[in-house]
Amino acid sequence: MPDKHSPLFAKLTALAAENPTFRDGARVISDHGKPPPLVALLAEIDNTVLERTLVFRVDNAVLRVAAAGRRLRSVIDITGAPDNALAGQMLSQDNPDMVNGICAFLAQLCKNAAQVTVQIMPATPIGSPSEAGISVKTLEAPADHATNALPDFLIPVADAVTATVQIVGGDITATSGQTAALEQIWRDQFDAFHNRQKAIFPQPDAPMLVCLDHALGQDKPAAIASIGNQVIVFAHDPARIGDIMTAWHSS
Amino acid sequence: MTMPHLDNLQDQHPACETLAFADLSTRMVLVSNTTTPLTREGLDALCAEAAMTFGPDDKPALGNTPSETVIIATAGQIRIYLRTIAAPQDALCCVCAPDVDMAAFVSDARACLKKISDAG
Repeated sequence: MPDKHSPLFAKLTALAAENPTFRDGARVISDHGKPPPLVALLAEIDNTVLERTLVFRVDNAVLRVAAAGRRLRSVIDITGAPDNALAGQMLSQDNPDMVNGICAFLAQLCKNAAQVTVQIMPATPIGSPSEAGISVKTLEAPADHATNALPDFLIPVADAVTATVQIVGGDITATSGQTAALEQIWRDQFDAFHNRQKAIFPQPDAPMLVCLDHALGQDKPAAIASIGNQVIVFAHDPARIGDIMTAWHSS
Repeated sequence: MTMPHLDNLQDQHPACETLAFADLSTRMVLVSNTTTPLTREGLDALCAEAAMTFGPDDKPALGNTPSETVIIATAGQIRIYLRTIAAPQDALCCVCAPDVDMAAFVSDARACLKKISDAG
């Protein structure tokens, strides 16, 4: 008699009820946001017990990952999307930078994806079985945080913020509002500015907030806050600059 | 004629520690007023940061439109740079404590910059 409350029973029941659709031989796991692309991708990893290579197509990008034991062991390679420094490395749950980096990468890859498909292939030999990888539970927590949370200092003045681009470890992890010009600042200007600024006032990794009153047009300000490995580029109500400064110094 | 304007501004805003009127085209501080022992190198650094952050008129360092006010806040200090598009080489570089009344200070500092620029 099966235990109807066991996770295995629930999973088998769900599998039996599924009526999957396929595209180009790959199973569609997310279509127009249902379920959310990142959730669907992580669920596939969570369903992988034996060692397998999962080939995800996220719109035009193809991501090959090694998964086993319901863990992401490695990103084997990426095509059709900006490469990531973590590709080809064995992933470790004990390395917070690695966990944050892979979470940010997956969040960015899946952001606004119209369709995600998966193919399950035989395992590609990689690393040693003792290198355990990162559990889906661990991958889910920072991803949720990265996509939802504003930096602490902006929470009291959230109503003054009209658009945001959040970056963790160099990758965009979340956006809100009209972000094209903000993304351009991050993509094309921030690094050069940051390096030149550090040459003038060398304070490595010190938190800093930079506000410019017409950055996005006449009386359309933008600001950039850098806090550790997190950067947020945001547009705000020009009349609230004093409140934003107060919040910055209170945090 | 510049010093009295800087004195007045600093008197109005005790949280303002340093004021420097600078020519961004030559990156030179022309006159300064400070309540802290700021060195010449410190003043030059303010001028350099102002010039770098505003950027050339046709190519702002950040954003797509030249700004007139830049505020750079760190943990214990606020650096405020002001200029006008009409006279973009004239800049007022200010260092303030975090408790400065930002809106009032920027408004008064902008009026101060205009007086200095007009007098020049």
